[in-house]
Amino acid sequence: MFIWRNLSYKRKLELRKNAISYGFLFLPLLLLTVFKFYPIFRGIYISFLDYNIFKHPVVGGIQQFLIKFGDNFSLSGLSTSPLLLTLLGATGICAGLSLLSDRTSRTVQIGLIFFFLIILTIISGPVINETMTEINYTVRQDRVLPLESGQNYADVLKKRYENKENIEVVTEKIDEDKLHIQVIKSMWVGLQHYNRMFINRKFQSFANGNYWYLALVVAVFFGGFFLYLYSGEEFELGRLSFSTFPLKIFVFTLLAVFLAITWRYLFHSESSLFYQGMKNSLTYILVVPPLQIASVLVAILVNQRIPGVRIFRTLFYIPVISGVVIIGYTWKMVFSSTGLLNGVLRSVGLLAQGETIAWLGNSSIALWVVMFVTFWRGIGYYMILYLAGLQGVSKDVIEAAKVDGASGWQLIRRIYFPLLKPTIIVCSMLSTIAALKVFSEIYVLTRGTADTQTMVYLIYQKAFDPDGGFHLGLSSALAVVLSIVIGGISLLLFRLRGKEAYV
Amino acid sequence: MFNYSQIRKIGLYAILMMLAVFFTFPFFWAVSTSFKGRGENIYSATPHWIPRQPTLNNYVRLFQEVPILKYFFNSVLITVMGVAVDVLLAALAAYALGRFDFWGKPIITAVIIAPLMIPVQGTIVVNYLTIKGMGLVNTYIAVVLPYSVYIIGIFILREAFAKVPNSLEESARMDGAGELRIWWQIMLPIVRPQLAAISILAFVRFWNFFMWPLIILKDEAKYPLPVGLTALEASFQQDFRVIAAGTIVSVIPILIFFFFTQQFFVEGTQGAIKG
Repeated sequence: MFIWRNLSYKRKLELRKNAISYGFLFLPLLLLTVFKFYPIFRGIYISFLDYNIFKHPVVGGIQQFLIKFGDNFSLSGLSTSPLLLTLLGATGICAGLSLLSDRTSRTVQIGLIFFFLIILTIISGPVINETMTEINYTVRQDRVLPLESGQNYADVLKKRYENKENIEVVTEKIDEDKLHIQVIKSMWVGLQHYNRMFINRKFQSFANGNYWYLALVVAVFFGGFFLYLYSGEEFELGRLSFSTFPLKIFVFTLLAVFLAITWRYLFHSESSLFYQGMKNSLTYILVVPPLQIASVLVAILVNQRIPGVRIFRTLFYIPVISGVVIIGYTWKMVFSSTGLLNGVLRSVGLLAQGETIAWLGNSSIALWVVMFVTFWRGIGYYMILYLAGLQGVSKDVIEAAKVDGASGWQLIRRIYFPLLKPTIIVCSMLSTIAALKVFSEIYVLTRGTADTQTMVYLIYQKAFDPDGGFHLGLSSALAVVLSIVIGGISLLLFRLRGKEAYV
Repeated sequence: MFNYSQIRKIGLYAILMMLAVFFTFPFFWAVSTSFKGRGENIYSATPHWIPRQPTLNNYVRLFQEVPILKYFFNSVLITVMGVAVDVLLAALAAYALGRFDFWGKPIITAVIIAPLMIPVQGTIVVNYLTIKGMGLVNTYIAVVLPYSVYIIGIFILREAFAKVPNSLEESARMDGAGELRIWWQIMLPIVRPQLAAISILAFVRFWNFFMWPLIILKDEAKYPLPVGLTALEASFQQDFRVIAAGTIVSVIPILIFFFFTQQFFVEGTQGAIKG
């Protein structure tokens, strides 16, 4: 029995301290739980549902409807789930390995990774193939809907579902409390379905060109193996402590899955929005972060001790603080078809009179314009970060190199780059994360037209834009995939730098 | 004639000037556009930088036809609320983490760090549903609430709190001050520099806030400036003269703010990397 009076003074003091601490922590923890942790779980849950905003609940809950595609199951949110499960599996296993690795022998590690990669190869190829077609189907169904003037998209879609046009709809009223059972059931049916599909189409998918996918995974497989062999430590069986390796493989695998999907559908399928989002995000992280390294050069320039250099630093930093929307509009005035750039090109004579280039309307240019704006905006930020790094470089080293007659470029390549390597790695990861999160530029410059939707734009568009059909389920599925990718990179960053790497 | 180091210096300044032009010309183009008159063809074949019929008409239109002042005050309101809540909650959590040893402290610390790895965009759908469930859609509280725990702020403040000597706290306790009073009257004034730093970081975070207000605010009269600008675009049908004026008006406050707090910005950003 707990009696306050009977406790010793020391114990009382301790209890009191705990109570006070949790008192102070209560509000922040509550808010974190509600707005950060709960959304993860509910997001995963919703991603298995076909869940539209405009379907208002009958009694306090959400009325669900199931869309059938001729097979005996399918919630459209579910169609992204195998991809999701694969990524989840990858994350789980590799994160687990990276935690274990200090205590596990390398033989076990490598065995597990081999096993896991083989499983991944076998399962995900046909599964991804199949699901992407379904997503294409869903998306196309919604996109072709004709909209007359004055019509609300939501109403039209609702009416269409009610009239069962175009699509076979089974609207079932499901009690809110039975919903999760339904979801688990459908997940199970889904898994069985994929299992069946795999058995039936194993060889077929091989023949269909899935060998691209296989080749890629095999390449990554061997890439990982060589990385392992040449990763700077001696090859010794049964040796302990090798903690960076599983993390490397983890990132490799994530990238491989990402690449494989893109690769596969770059050549083999008609474009869908989901594919477009994946492709654009991938292009973004392949182009922008490497270019951002140019900010090292800017940082070296403004690190000189010359009068007035602080003013230049401030000028270069202005794009960072101005806010993305404002930046977006200033650049829109430059890039719009009636804007500055076309005018300049015309006056220089590169464009004929009356001729215009639609920088933001042409689907082969628009994404590059948006990427340029992101790049331009980021330079000042990374410049400041590199400046901090440069201040850590000792002056003696630079002086010594200069005395030895190193030219400017040699100085940069042989001295600054190697010394700044840790900063460059961290900045690359930060800019990769930033590139995956790009939204405002796209919203302001193109509103997702001209094939510029990235993953985040799709998350917004699918769930909240009247154009997107308010598919919260699909949007959540995208969000979960994105979170896994960003979470992976963040985890790596975290292992490298600790919490200071985030502001 | 010039010697080598002078030539080098001139070259350096030339490159710096070119970069400065590269980083600022869109702003100057916006300024130029915003002063161009109605009769002037801004879509002309060859661009001109100096307005031929300089006018303030665009600014007049901006203030008369669009609630730009309203947007501005909405932004101020959201930012003030956001910064206040951010700093307050960060100070609460950081105080507990920095000053007390309690059961499960490592776990709680991990729990607070973990959300750094979750992108905001990943939680946006569910947060919308949560806010909707609370009946808070289209309110300023809803804009601030999901962003009220500023994790970096917590860790900046935790370090600061941990450095405060114990004697101060003990003498206060001896004098019979309650825990909240020690926190409010003794601890917070000591960590004032860090409070200022995280206020500035939080200011930028809320002033440039775009995606979440765009989703959660339905009423145009409640838009903050960035969202208001996109509404401006819709109502002026790509008339860049007025949009440029709107852009200039919205960038001026943040530039003034930046001018006075420059050092904090640089230090705050660099804090990200020094570790």
